[in-house]
Amino acid sequence: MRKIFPPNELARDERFVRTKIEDRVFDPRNAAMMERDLGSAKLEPSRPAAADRARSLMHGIFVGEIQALEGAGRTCFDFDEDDAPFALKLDMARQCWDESRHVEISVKLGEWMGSEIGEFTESTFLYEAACADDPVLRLCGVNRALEGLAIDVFNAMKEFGDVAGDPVLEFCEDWMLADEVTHVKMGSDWLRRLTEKDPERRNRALEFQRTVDKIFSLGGFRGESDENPVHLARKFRRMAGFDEAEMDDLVEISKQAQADAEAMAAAAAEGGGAYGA
Amino acid sequence: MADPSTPRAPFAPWDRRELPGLFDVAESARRVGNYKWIEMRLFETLGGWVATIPELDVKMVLGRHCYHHAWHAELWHKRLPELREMNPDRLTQPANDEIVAFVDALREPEAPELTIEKLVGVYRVLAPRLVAAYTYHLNATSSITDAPTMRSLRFALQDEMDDWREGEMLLQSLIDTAEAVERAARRQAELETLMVRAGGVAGPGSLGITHDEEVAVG
Amino acid sequence: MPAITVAPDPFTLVPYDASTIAQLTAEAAALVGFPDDVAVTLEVDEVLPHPLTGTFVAVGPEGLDIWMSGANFEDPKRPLKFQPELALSELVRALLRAADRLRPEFSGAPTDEDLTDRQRAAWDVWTEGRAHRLGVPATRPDRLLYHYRLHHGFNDVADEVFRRLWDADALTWPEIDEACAETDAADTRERPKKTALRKEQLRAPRPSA
Repeated sequence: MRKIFPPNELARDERFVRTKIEDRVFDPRNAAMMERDLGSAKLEPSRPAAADRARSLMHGIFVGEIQALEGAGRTCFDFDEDDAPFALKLDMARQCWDESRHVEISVKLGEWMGSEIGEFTESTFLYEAACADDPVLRLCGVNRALEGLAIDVFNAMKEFGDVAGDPVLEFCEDWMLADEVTHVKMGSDWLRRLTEKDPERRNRALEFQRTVDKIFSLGGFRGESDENPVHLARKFRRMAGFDEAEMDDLVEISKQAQADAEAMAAAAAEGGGAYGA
Repeated sequence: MADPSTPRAPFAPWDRRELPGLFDVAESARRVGNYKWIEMRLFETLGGWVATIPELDVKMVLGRHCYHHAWHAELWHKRLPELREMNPDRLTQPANDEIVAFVDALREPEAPELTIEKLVGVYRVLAPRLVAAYTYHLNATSSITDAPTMRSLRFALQDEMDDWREGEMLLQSLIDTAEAVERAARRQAELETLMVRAGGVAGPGSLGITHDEEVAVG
Repeated sequence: MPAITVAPDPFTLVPYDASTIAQLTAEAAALVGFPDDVAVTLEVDEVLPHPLTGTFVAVGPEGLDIWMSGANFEDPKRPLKFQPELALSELVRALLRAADRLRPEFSGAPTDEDLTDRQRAAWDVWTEGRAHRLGVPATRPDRLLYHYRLHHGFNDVADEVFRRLWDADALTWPEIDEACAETDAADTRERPKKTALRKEQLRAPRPSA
């Protein structure tokens, strides 16, 4: 088995269909969508297509958990103990089990919500963040950026379950949220420990985290305004080791990602990225 | 009510533990170091394989078992300093070069269509060997002086037995043609041969049999 | 076969084909027994992507107007891709509800724009149950159950009403409304302060645009 396993070879059964992030960014409908006033984008039962949106998000969580499991597993394998201390690898193995449970939970929740495995598309950009050749970068990209996003998403789903009165959803999201806080904390702790005497490496890792955060803000998916479906879960992020400045920075990154996406959509529309006449 | 001042035997009548054991401190430590080494290689391999396995149920099980073996490695890591090995890395070693060759062969399969080969290596060759070595250690060591190792062995054995069973059931669900039977058998024979050369996860004597008594293989 | 008009024609943002959609509408009309003398105008909003689905039907003197989100026809696994099976089932649903509206027993039903989420979800369950019995693909009770529970509550009373609505052969609007009153009485959740987003809002431009 090779060290560093490429994202395009992630093994899946025939139910899974993969898309690229570019497909989403260059969707010819984006520019027209941005001209619509759809009101609050927050996931709420009273919003249109709430069940479909919740199912779609749930499926996104499901495939994200699979990739998080794969990423943590690869960190156990890809590095020897000179690069990744024994205790770090133990943490990653623990994360494997946690992510494995999250996949199990997500499958059950998907069934509960009337969805099925492979109903929606999968993109591999979560796993891509887990392919960095420096374990500190992986921990920043995956544990701090992506598991941080998971905190925000699970919190949003938990609130959705609470408002909808869905006891199963709320229960499951609450448990997964607890695990995610642990994973982010692991990332924060290892970043501090491994870069204590190497500020340059720390900066590189934090820069990588910012890049991942921006990609995962997905043109306004996460933020603190009404237009963002998922809001920053500041309370849980604080528990996981984020300070206020970092969280403010994240809001800025998200705004920037949204502005970039709008600019890209406008450019795509001008370029005639459409069908028919 | 019993008089609290009445002298009682230090060992209750039902406590049949014996002082003598086959291992001194150094031998127990050597074996524990071997266990830690092989458990580490195993959890790394299972973690690495998760991304290469298309079957969702197998993927999830390996994620769980990966942690079990990491935890065993951690148990052994913590036990080593208690066995007078203040530098646990010094004894975190393979039993011999043959066990290294076995692990290299074990973790070789990568392609998504090789799930049977991957699982056979772990659940039909390595897991039974771990169960055997741990059971032997448990039965052979002093139940009084080496009790902390025995406690960890029992925890590890509980996982090993459960995981072995689960892995075997996954295999039985995947082996559904004569060709798959042949593949599984071939893979088992290849790896078993390497394991026999190594003499077990703790080398010759993993099961208490000495070099001289061993049957030459391959 | 009723006269069918599909707009836009051609589509400019998604690779949908108006004549294919018209053909599927005719197929759906035949399947549900939709009257031939009622003209059907179908407007597909090609701007909305999956999962922003939505359907509104309105019956007037000119015939039937259906407004449908383009997301209703889109393969969830492949953005922008038209999925004929899904489109057919969506059109059957729309035409079943439209056919209901043509019956005098539904004369008291509010317009789609004015239906509450609870009323709409209840009507959707009955529609889906009938579509399922017609052998329409992609109709599954477990799938609709979640949508229904979001609006009727996660409790035994709501689930019992779901089964009744799903299995019903014939219903009147007052019966659907009564079913809603039944689940409403058992629903202890806090009522949402916001009203559901309506078609006109989905299409509304941003104030700054």
